[in-house]
Amino acid sequence: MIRMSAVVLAALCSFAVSAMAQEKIKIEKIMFGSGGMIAVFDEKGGKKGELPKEAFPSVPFDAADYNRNTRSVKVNAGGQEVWLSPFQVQVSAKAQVLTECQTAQRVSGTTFSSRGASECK
Amino acid sequence: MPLRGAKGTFETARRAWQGFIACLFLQCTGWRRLGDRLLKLSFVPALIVSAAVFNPLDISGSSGRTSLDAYRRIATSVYPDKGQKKIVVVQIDDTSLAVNGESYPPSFDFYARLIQKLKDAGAESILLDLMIIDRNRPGEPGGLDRLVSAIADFPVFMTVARSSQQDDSGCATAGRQNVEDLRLAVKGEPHPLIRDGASHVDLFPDSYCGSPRLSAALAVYNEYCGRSEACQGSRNDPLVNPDAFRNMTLTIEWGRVWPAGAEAVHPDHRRLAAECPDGSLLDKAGNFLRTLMPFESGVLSNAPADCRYHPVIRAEWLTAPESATGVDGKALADLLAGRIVVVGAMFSGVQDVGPSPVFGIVPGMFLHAMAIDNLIVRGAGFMKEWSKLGLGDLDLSVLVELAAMALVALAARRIGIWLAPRTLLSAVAWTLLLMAAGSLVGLAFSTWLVWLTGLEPVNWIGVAVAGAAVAGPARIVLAKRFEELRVLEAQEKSQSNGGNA
Repeated sequence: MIRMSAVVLAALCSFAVSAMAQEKIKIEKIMFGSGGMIAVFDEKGGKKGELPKEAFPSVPFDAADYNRNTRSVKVNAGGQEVWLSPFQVQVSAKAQVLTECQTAQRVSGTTFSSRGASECK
Repeated sequence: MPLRGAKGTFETARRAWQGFIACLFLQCTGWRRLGDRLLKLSFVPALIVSAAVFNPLDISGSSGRTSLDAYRRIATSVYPDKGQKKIVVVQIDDTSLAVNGESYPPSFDFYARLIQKLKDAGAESILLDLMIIDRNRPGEPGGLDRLVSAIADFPVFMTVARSSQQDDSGCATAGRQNVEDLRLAVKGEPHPLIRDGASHVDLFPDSYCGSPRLSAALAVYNEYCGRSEACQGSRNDPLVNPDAFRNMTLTIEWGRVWPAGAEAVHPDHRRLAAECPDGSLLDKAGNFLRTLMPFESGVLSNAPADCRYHPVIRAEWLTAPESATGVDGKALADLLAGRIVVVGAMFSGVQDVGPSPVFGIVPGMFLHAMAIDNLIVRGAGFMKEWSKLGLGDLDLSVLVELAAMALVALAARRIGIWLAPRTLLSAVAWTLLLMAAGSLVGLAFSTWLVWLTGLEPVNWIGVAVAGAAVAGPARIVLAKRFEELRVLEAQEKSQSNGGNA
């Protein structure tokens, strides 16, 4: 019975791990600049040029890669792989950890006004 | 039996304790003196550090906030007007609705008309600090489509509406959100991220409630920078220099001078221009003195309540020009051309307000406008919050404050010895004077530190007050009195022992 439970538990865990690994980052919105153009970058953040709105798939779509350190996203656009600045996109990425302070505050809600005020980051 | 055993143990412990005390008094006198001295030397600093760490009754927070607000009020006199010339605020309120024949919530066509007028006038971008959450509204059918058309292909940002539902971790994920069609139509849906009593803005927290979040201020500034030749590609460009903005907190600086040129729009503005702060030398001196006055409320006590730093346009001047008497249409269009427009609402019963050190409680759109203004004026060099130490609310500024406090205490002690006041009353008066003088020196030091580091001012009031209190003339006189009492007590004790013998 114990062996059976362990096997089931292991299977569930591996399923969860693989589901997490397969979780794709979705790009929900791209903020194009004036004239419908957007600056694109290489992996190290160097500017590669600009691409028009038409070069991108319509949102939402899966990012080719996501850098959790810089929050930059890689996309396939105009037949090439380019990186977008975190300030130009809205993504569906979920963070891994919430601090106790954040959790407590989000449960208790804001205290001053409706401005989403927060005491902890 | 067990009771007898416990009694024996207790007796042994009591004897051991008595022996220890006797040792302290008789055999360890030298050590005790040293301990006394160490205790005397370390007691006050330990008290200050404990007060800073445990922060009872928020003493550190309240003096810190007062220091920050006082600095921000004084600094308004030298705040550059570059951002003031680039931003306009459009205010919607109950009067706007009444003039337009609307009721709360306004129809989609009301917003569509407003946005179209702003576009026609040549606005550069629009930030809607509104909550448009109900699809069912009064008005003609197809209003939502017309609003979406007005927004589409124009840099319109709309702040995220507050959610009423939360997931297991307390993170707001669903509930009252802006109408989906509008969320899709706007260029971006950034977050307010204004906190700490509206004094700070988290520009781009990497991990806030489960995902990276872009603040409204940074989203609009990013748009501005992409259109400004001076900003684009420079170190002030968030796309080129992202580390200067990611996970950074902006401390909102304020301006207070009436926006020149706005008086041409409406007779009310002409009246305000005559009565609001004008930035003259006299006005600056008055502001400085009033800020340092005790019990000052923080509001512009000698100016009308309608004074603002950014030009304010009432929504009905645009949406119902036929009923807006006295409005100069051309001046209005000139004021809007090429500007960032922040649109906000103040409906009765729907409060979205925050405190400002200059104008008192203001509607939320003015907070957004000021944060955007700071970014335009300062670029990547905006005033920042100190880094956290990882000990509760403590940040690195505490170390600077403790060092400054030690210096103030040292100076206060030297001055106290030099003055050698005879009475406690004169000692208290000198201490208060030292506190005031120390505050002015602290303000100068803090200003220099802000200029040098770009970080928000330290708690200069707390430093001066605590430093002068722990080592100033009053403390010296009190210590003398206690010493005299101790000697007197010792003499009386020895006399009484001699009498007994």
